[in-house]
Amino acid sequence: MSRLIEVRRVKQYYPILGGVLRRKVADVKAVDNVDIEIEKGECFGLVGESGCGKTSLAKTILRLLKPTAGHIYYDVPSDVLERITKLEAPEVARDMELEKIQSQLKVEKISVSELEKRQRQLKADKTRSQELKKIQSQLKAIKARSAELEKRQRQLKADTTQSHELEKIQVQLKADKASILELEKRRDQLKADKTILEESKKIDVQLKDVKAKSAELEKRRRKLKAQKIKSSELEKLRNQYDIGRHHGKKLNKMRRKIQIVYQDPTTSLDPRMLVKDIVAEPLTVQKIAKGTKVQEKVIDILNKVGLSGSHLYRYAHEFSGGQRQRIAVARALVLNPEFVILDEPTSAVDVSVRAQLLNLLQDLQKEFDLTYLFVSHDLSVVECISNRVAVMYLGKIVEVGETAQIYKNPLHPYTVALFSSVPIPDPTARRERAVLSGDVPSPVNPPSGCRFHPRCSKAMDVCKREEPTLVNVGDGHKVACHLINA
Amino acid sequence: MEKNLLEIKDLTLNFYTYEGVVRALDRVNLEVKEGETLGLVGETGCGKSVTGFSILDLVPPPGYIEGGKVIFERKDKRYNLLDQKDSFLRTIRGKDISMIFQDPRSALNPVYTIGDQITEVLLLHRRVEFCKQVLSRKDLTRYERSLYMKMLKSPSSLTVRILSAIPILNRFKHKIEALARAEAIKMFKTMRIPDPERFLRSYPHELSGGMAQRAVIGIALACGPKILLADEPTTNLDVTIQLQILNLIKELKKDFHSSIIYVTHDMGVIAEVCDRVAVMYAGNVVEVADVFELFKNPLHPYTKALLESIPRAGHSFKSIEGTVPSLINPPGGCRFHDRCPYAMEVCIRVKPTLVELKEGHFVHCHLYSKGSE
Repeated sequence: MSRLIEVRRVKQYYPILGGVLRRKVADVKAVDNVDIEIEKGECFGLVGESGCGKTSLAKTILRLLKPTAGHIYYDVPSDVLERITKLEAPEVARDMELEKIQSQLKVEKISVSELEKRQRQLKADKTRSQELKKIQSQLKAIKARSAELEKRQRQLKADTTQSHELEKIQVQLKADKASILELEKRRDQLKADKTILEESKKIDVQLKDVKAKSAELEKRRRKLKAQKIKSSELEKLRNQYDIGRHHGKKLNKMRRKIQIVYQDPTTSLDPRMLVKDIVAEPLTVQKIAKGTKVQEKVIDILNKVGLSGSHLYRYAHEFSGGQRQRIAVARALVLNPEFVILDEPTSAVDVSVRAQLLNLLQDLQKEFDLTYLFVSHDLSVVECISNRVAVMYLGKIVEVGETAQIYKNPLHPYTVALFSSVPIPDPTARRERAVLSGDVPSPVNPPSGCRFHPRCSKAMDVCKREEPTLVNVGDGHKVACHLINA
Repeated sequence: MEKNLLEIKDLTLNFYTYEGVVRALDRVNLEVKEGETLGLVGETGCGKSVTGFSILDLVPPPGYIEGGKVIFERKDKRYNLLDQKDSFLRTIRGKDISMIFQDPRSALNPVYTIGDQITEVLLLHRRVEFCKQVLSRKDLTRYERSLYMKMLKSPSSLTVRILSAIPILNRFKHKIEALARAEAIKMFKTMRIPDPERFLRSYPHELSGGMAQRAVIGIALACGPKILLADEPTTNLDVTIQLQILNLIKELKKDFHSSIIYVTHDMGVIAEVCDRVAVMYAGNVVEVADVFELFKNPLHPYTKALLESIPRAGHSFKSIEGTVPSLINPPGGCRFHDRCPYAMEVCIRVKPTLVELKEGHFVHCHLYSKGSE
């Protein structure tokens, strides 16, 4: 099988505008550095919870959205693709390093703020040093007084007449000696208790270290960013093959080859157009057929999807849910595309109709030699229809592989939890399942390191710091998890 | 366990639309036993949600209940809910029978906080209890005491209503509201919601789908209902959140000893939570059985087809031929006959009756009633 689509490091960010000037304040990172390869003639499943970016990815491949970064190579001859990979290598290496530095910087920033917080806490703990000062001044005063008293005592001892005063002084001296001893003891105690001071010193050193490190990282980052890797050959190849760069006529021509079927046919079909116009619209837009030929083609494709010529002069609302979705399929297939994106095509129809529709899609795939990208959250449907599956979580692919392999032997903790939360239609199979606690975090500010770590039952220390990369564990089964890499 | 808490007898319901009369329910019979979870399954438009609505007499126009009874037992008295006055039904809705709707975002009022919405239910149904608690306090002023006495005697007292509409003067209500809030916090604590105080202060749009659904469940269970109608509570949620909600419902059922009527189209969910299942098709109950029995030994051709249409790895998709018939002009006899692979000549003419084939296993099909005739 040859490769049809190669998605490389694609990012799709949606800007959040704020303030009076509507400036960009943050990004919704819907798709973040995603790599996907789709082979010719296969059905590639894309699963994940709502909001994980699967539809955004599909729309980016279709080029309804322009990717923020990254490249989508469509139907590139394998030798050219190899050449591109080779030429891209330095750029990829740079990007990887940049990414790594950025995540490290994020971690350093967090640790700096933590250390500074502790330092402030320690400094606020001033009572100790104040007490020490007070004791020292007290000691000084008492010592001065007792020295004076001793002097006076010596004078008095020579002169025996004033024994009364002498006695008084002696008592006073005794008391003073006791209090000096006590104060000195306390002072020594306080002085010995140097841990806090030491900690503060240690933190100072640490802070210095961390700051130096992050400064170095920042320097390296700037250098990398300024570094221009340009290869005119690569640019030329990209302009030729990267859908992400196409525009105008070239893009329009591309659209013939890639089509989409949306989730809900009631909203994706124009309520004021007749079926014959809905299905014929792509033909007229692409200027493929004219006049009576259009009608012929429309009837032909309607027959293929299980409708007939008698349905031509009807509106979408006159059909049942299943039939409406058939019209949407007919509209997608009328241009004879190579690649069809199915964005949850069965979630709006009933169980009994769902099976009919899936059978139809499978038959059409064989007949027209189509490649599917099947986006769905219905895991049981994906299991049945697709050859390979990618699991997405918060804009990242966490696991890719052959369907049977992934369903039988899921490796990523998220995949395990996701699959085990699908209710099985068999009451005897009720079981304890891995319940995922909490909700999906916001993609505006995703967690550092592995994005799944706050909900992961097996999270380790590394997961907070480093982002795992997709690692091949055999037979094209790739997992992005530190548990596997270790 | 064996006592029937709710019985639906020969319930018939029509929708009068411009296109014609939609015969949405056609003599539906169901019963709900104490402490059980009854699942109602079927495709879109088979009347499962409408059955739920008609139990509380909440069917929206142009739907009208044409006949039948919904008998509910409360304090050893049996009431036909369809004959009762609205004022009586209001004492039942939300207290004895409460409902969880499909879409939590449209079920919650967007301009009130979750706290406002749950205290509303609590104050409506447990006012007397709260009034007594307030009156037992010693720090009441004479003004407050007199108002709470009034409230205790007649909840809709005019003076109380007028005073609670006037700012500043309505401060006397703070005491009873505080009690209701404390109760709500207790409720959400048992549901293990982190930081319930903050949860009460938040508006529906601030919550994720799963949290909003939890709020709706909390409101529904606030007064400890005997029957909980859950109308597809997890359909719009992700599988991981669905599992959280299903576990929550199962746990709460143990705590509150309620019966649950669980309406869904997902056979997986049915297998997960239900004790008994009623399968509906085009306004008829076609099969009622224990879950284990139903999945092991489905009898009605529709149930069989429905179970077979669940995608399983390695098998091709088996579908049911044709589509759900229009209920404006439903097929005569058995409504499934035009899609049924076993259809006989009788099926077109005569409507079958619900026959008990084994203990607790009812089927609505001529294939089985023939033997007993």
